[in-house]
Order: sequence, then C-alpha cells, then structure tokens
Amino acid sequence: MGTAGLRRVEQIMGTPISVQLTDPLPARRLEVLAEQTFDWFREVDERFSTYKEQSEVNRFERGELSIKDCSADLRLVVETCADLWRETDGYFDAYATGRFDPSGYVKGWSVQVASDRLLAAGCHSHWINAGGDIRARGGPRPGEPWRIGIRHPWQEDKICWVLGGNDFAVATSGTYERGFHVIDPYRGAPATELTSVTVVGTDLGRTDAYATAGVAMGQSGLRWLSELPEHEVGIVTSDELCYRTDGFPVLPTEPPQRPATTRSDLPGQPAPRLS
Amino acid sequence: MRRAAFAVLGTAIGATLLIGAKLGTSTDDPGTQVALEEETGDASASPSPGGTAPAGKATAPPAKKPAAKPPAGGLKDGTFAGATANYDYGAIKVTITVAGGKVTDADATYPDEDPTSAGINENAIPKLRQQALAATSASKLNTVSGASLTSAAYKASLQSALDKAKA
Repeated sequence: MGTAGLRRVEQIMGTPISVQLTDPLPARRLEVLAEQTFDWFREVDERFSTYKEQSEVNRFERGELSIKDCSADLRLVVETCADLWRETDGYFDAYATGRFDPSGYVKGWSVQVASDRLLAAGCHSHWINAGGDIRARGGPRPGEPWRIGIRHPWQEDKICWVLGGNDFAVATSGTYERGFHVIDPYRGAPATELTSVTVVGTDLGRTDAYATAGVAMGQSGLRWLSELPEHEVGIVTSDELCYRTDGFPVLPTEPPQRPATTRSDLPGQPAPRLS
Repeated sequence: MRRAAFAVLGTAIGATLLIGAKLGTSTDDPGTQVALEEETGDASASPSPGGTAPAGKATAPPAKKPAAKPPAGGLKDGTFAGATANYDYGAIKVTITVAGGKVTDADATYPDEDPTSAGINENAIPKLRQQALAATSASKLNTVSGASLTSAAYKASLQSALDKAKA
C-alpha cells in the first residue's frame, strides 16, 4: 500500500488496540501523538477496569466514592450508561452482571475520546481500532476513504462487507467470537438470531452499545436497529442472510467475486420476512 | 413488544380457527372477539359479528366444496377466516386454508382501515435490504471491524495480519 504515516499496535484493556496516523506531520510528532493515545488507554484501564481493585469504577461500585466525588469522566460514563439503558429498552445494561460494569461502553467511549483528542491536536487523518470497534477520520491519502472490512462471522480470514468513509464510528457485536455471550436480559438466555451486528455512526461509545443491544434483542433487533435515527446498520443473521440500511456505507469489494447485482438488489423484490 | 404481541394473538386466533375447523362449525361465542367466517365457493359464509369487512389479502375459495363431514384428518376443507380482532396495538385477521383435512396455509393480515393498525403495517417490515452473505478476501483494507476479539482469536485474525503487514 505504501501509506505514509505511523502504524502501531498495543495490548491494553485486554484488547489489541491498533492505531494508524496518516497526517503529513514530522515522524517525531506522529510518535508523540501515538504515545499520548496509548497513554490515554492505559489511564482508562487503570481507572475503569473492573479487574483492578483500586480502579475508580470499583471504588464507586463499593460506595467508597459518591457520584458527586467521581471524576467528570466517570460521571459521564455512569450517566450515559443510564441513558443507553433507557434508549435500548434495557437491552444495554451496565448492571447485567449484578454489579456496575460499564466496560461495554468504556471501550468505545475511550476510543472516541482518543480520536477527538487527536483531531484537536491537528491530526485529521487517523483510525483507532480497539478489539474490532473503530473510529476513523480522514483517509489513507487525501480524497480517499478508509476501507474497513466487516469480518465474516464464520470465516475469520474473510470479510462480508467493505465500508468506506472519512468520518465515522464502526462497531460490530456478535455471537461468533466468544460464543453466545450476549445475554437477553428479559429471557436470561443468550440471543442467537443475529450473528453479527455492525452499527455505523459518529460516536463510537453509542454505536458499540447499540450493536450489543441489537444482538441481545435477537430477531426483534432487526427492526429496532433499522429504525435507529442517524445510524446505519448491517446485520448477518444465523440463517446466513445479510440485512442493511440503504445508507450503510458499503464499497464495492475488489475484485468482484459475483455479479454486481444480486437478486435482492433488484427493485420489486420481497422485503425481508419476519416470522 | 408489538410484534411479540401480534405473534401471540395470531397464534391464539389460529388455534381458535383450528378448533372451529375441527368441529366443522363456526364458533359464535359472544365472549370472544374471534369468530369463524368460512369463505367458501357457495358464499354461505357466516357473518362476522364484528361486521368488519376484510381489507387484507383476499383468500382464494377452495377448489371443491367443503366436505359435509370432517375427513380422516379431522379438519373440514375450506378457507377459514377469523373475524378481525381489535386490541391495543391495532387489528389482526388470521386466515387458514384446510385441504384434505390438513392445514395447508395460514396467513395473518392487518386490515389497514384502522389508522392505528395502518401505522403499524407501514413499519412492520424493517427498511432493510436483504442479500445473501458473501465471503470475500478484499484487498486494500485498512482495518477490520468484528466482534470483540480475544487475544487468541486476534492472533488468527485478519486484523492481526494487517497489523503485521503494515506495522
């Protein structure tokens, strides 16, 4: 590819975090920006990990820290988790494990903050990928979109879509990686109908939470996701069908492996059937 | 929630229709909103107590007249439509077709005269494009989005390969 810039991966928060910066800035400057980015993720891990005894989240959970004594960051996280619980009819639940565990929001939120900080620091062209959840701005070269593959649910080395954009948050949640680990809080059982849910928006914390909630909803998540305002979705169901909103930013894959038009792309085809 | 309610209600109505078909009679229990309306070739359908004309999908009359007695299968041949049942979220009408003593088709329609149910009908089908799942190994990817990766899964992933190739 020969894309200029800086590329780095580190394992933080139990997750591989990959970063690419492509602004035409001095190499040393890019290094400093990358270092600041990873420092932020290490800080988030210290403050928000439920595995670290003295993390701010655990002190808040144990009642050692009242909500008014929390950092502004933690207050924001607590409040947003409450908002998301309401917005998702309870399907995104930071208390699902019986204690306050905002990890499902913190990962996306921390990436969003890191990207916002890069932008403020003059880095307009970058992406950050934390465990498959991505915030991307700019592009590999001026005028070109970032090309983001959506992993094929059953073939780890394949993709089912390529998305293109120059300012978007892309989050994917699914049942395939750790088994059926997304629990429907109403049934108390794993949801299995939606194998992979990708949500595209501008705020990675929210898109990640919506994707997780959509998987937990199972079949009824199809409609809920399709009606999310200002978000686009792409879904793979357990019966190997794909659904996407009209605005889902798919790019043609290269090389085309099948005729460009599939039956369901033609007008007048039956709409997806819900049973 | 709504769809689940439709499903439950539809199942309940369908079950009532089956019972009606089994007996070969229409159920005129005034205590229920659901009544049988046998749509047959001789147009001798019993009137629906609700008086609501079906605005949904028209059902084709069966090829032959319904047998006077239930055949071996126990169900009387014909097309049986439930009366329109109204409930909080709108209206629903379930039709089953019995041929050779067996249910060969079941259909639920949402008569859209009622403004409440019309609103639901419009949104009943998600605004989504459907297509078959493709598996490609597209080149020129910058990064890959996928469900939360464990360390082991990451090592085997496309993202890991991309990181190695470009780091």
